[in-house]
Amino acid sequence: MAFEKVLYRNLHLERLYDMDVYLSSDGYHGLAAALERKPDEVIEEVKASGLRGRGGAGFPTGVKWGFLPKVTDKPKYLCVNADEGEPGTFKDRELMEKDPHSLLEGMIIAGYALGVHKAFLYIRGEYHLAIERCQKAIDQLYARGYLGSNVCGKGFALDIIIHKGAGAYICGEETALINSIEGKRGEPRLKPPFPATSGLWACPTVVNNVETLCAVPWILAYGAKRYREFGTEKSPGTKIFSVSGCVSKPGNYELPLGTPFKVLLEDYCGGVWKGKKLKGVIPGGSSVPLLSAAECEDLNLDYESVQARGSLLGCGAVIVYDEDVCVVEASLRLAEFYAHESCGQCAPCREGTHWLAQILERIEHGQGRPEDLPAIEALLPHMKGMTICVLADSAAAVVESTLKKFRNEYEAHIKHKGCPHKKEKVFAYA
Amino acid sequence: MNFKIETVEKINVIKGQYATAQGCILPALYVLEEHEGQVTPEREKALAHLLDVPTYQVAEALSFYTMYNRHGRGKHHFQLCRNISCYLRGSDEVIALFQKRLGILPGEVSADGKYELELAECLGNCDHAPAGILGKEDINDLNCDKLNALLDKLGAPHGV
Repeated sequence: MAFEKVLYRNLHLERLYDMDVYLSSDGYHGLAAALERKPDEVIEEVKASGLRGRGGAGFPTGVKWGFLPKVTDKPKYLCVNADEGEPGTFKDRELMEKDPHSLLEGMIIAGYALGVHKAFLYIRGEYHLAIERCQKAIDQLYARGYLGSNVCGKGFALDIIIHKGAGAYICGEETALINSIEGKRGEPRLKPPFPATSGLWACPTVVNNVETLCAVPWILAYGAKRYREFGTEKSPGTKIFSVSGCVSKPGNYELPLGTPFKVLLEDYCGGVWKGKKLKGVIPGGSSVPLLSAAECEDLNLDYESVQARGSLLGCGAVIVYDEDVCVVEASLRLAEFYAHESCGQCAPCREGTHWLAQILERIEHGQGRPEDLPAIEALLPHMKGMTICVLADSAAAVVESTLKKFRNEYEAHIKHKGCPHKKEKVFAYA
Repeated sequence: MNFKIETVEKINVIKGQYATAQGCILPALYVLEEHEGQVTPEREKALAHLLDVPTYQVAEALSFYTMYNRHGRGKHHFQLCRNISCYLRGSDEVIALFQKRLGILPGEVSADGKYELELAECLGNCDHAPAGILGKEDINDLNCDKLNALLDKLGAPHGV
């Protein structure tokens, strides 16, 4: 499986976060190539590459850029979603810590193509090193004329401002992120209107993920055609897979889309941890349905293949369960997370996530009742598709899939009044 | 109440970056925390006055976002992740050990004000699970031995 590293092409370089090191490789070649073309041609190149949004939705980036009105009397904004909060995801952190200039180069190219003069880089507050490295990189860019009133002497202006998140998972949802930059509570907005027409301060806005923008400089420097040599027809290019949980070597791995799951697991991650058997895999971050070991047997990791199996590739965060993992407790962990992170706007989510966590808690801790499983099954349809954003759907996904695929484990908890894997609560809650 | 000169100066820079005064609230709160300390009700009101926004807008933000220091912090602020990837690699044992040594529950500060435990949701450091943050430093690949050694270094008691 021959492929070139796109996102990690320079990662072997020490101190890559320093602009001089980045420039010593192919740094800012993509920007130079972009500035030689008209903005529309840059958008066309990104469209031609087939690059799809790496934040989770997989929407074609060039198409998204094309939605922004060409002529408007309002300012246009670019917001970069670096609020990486999806459990199991740690790819944007690595990109920003080790290679912030790739992201910033992608942002400047996007700014030029879209006619944006102000961009906000929304980094989650816990990413202290990423914030520090990106800020230093931005300072270097201003000092050398790559940002400011006359970018690279080409007469276009761009400012980049880091907006530090303050601890809210929901701000990874693009309209909640926009509200958060506006200083409001991070509550998602109803769509339409979409951000392209009415986003930040009701102005045309594009929201892109970090990994998406990091691929843009390469596409401009080496061409959309070459980008399409990797991956599949509908899922072109490479993608970072963040693998965590029960594997020997957790980590970020850049691979072409369509790579078989078995190759990722065995060849890159050293197989299941401690030589155990595989039980299941959450292939796209905690918000997507779990696949059983059998369903992963010949699974390819691209958007279409994962969807055909009944799950989603999402942001490419692969969470691996070994044979000894209690699916009930693992689902409880996630249900509690979503209950904690629900913004509270919509009743089906505000109430449903808590009910789900409460029912799972009693099943896990030995107070489960036979009617609990039908109760969960009755609850889930009222959570899915009933709310402004998909947080409630996300909360439902892992529970619904594990209940379907490992129902016997839920039943065993109820029948034997407790978790067969563990006898008592390990740590105490407040 | 009056803020320090550097607080006001930094907030003035922020005012130039955001299109509305309300937009300045989140970054201004971080400035306030850095230069003035804990976000007390008095400082909250003074910030609203400085930004010329209604006080409810600052209160709304503070009640939604969890990272601002409204109640005082322990000297050593530990955030230990409990979410899925860390759970799968033994975070519960590490958290239990912390509680046993310091005798505090999540959200609490030890009686001497030195240790604070916060249970964190995913910190995006899952390749180093179980993971945590001490102050602003990531703590990676935790296990009971490693946490014991870290707590010993800080002079933490052995069980309360």
